[in-house]
Amino acid sequence: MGLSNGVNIPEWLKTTGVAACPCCSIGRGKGFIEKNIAAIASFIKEVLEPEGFANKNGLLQQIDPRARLLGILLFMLTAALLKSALSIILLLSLVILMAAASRVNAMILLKRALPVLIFTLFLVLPAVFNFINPGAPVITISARDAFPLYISKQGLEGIAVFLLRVGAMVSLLSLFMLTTAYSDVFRALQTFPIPKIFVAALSMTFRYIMVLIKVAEDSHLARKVRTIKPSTLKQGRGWLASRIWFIIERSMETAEDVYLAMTARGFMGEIKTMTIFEMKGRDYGWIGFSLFILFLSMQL
Amino acid sequence: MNEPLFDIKGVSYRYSDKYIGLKDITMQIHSGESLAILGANGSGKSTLLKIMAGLVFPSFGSVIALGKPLTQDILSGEFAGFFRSKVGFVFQEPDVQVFCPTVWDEIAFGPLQLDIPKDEVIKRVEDVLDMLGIRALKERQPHHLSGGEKKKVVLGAVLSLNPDILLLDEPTNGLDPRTQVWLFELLAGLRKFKKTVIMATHDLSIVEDLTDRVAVLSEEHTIVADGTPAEILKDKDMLLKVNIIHEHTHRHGDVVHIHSHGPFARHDEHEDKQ
Repeated sequence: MGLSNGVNIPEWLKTTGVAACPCCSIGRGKGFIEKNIAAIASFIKEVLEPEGFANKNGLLQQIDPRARLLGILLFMLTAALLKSALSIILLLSLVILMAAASRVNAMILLKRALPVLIFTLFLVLPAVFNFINPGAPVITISARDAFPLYISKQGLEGIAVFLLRVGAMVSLLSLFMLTTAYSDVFRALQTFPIPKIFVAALSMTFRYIMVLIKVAEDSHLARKVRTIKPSTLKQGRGWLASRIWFIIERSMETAEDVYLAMTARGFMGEIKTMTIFEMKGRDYGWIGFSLFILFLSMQL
Repeated sequence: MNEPLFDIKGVSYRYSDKYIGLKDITMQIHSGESLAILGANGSGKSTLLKIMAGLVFPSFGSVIALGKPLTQDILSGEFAGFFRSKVGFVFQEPDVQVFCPTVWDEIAFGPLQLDIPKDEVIKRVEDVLDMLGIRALKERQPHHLSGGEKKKVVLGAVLSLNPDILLLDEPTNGLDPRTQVWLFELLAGLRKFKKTVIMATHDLSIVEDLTDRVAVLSEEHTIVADGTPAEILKDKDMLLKVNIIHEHTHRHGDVVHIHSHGPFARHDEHEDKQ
């Protein structure tokens, strides 16, 4: 009997030939799938662990998460109520000041707001034309009497105010997310009149997205290490479809197991939670300040 | 003898009404016992534990647990809270059990669901954090933890319920040697306080050190032996047949040994060949 416990190793597996590869061409780096999985993973990680801003000793970080969330919601309401571009710019300046006091770089807020602003711009772009916002022409495209087409001053102003409003709201929300630990976001939400099961489901969704992204990453890497020549587009599509189905199956199995694990620990359809935050004077001061700004916006 | 905690009679289980998971299982488990359910992968150990925990229900046969027949209906009523507080279940895969935002919330989850007063919940969580030496992790997000740390959190989350019966599915899986020793010491400590510990495993080192009874599941999903660890471990033919140990050949210098071998290197007897 051999030392391999009866396992017959084929002859070709017994050969070894470590040598330098004679080729010299360089590939195209990361493929489409890898880039996308990496981008999704990086986005989720950034949302859940925003570079440690939540642990810094800044203005917002010192405020109770519940008060912080309420204050930010009041500021967002203010942004929704303000009518002039100038007043929204003033609010944006205040947001940047709050960010600086909370040790958050304004460029990070801009980086988060920019994709939303670009997306919004494409959505509202038709509103610059006279057929949606008639008014004084700024740029005339067609001067035909029957169907004049031009960019109106009112249209441009309307878009500018809308984009500023969206920018202010996204910056406020980003500021809250950056200065609040992921766990505190959900704890704070639990104190608002939102069904607890909804908050718990949201929290778990974030958590298990991370687990499933890891599965997707590993699954892709496992294929990559066994891929010697590039696959055809058809093979690539087939593999992608099979992996998507695999992830769906894994997510369903995980959901079932999580439910069983919750049941085993006494869950009977209603999530019971406990809040151990303590509101202090400065928390009430922050809410008062947010209300004051809201009150001011209503006077403008 | 007192009334058994679990009275399992003729239990069979089929997955999707097709694949056999368990076949005609009959056994009784009494208070204070430390039982290992030993079997190869896929023999039905985890399913049997889940049936005892009232998480899945048999296709045939019956389970009486804590004096009541364990059915879906009874676990939807008042008995459920009592049963969940008495029976703690630790899954094999820690990732499915750490679903709360922080370690602290994870350990508090069970007691909160059972309406234990909040002061008592805080005390239990703090005590468990200290007992398991995981106080430094209390504000950490569970998905940041290592496998061993997750296992500790999961055990803490179950122990905070103060269960009388602890069901553990492959408790040593994926643990490094230091964490395994820590787990052994914890389980040995719990045994002293008459907790009933039932674990599904194929780790023979657990069986020897931590149990006073072993039930062996075959690859045909039936119980083929039930006895003391000494009785079970000396029945080499049976262990070979159910795929818990295997015949293994290796070399010490010029001497070649053939002997049976379990997953954790039980070298019981050697047949020397020159």
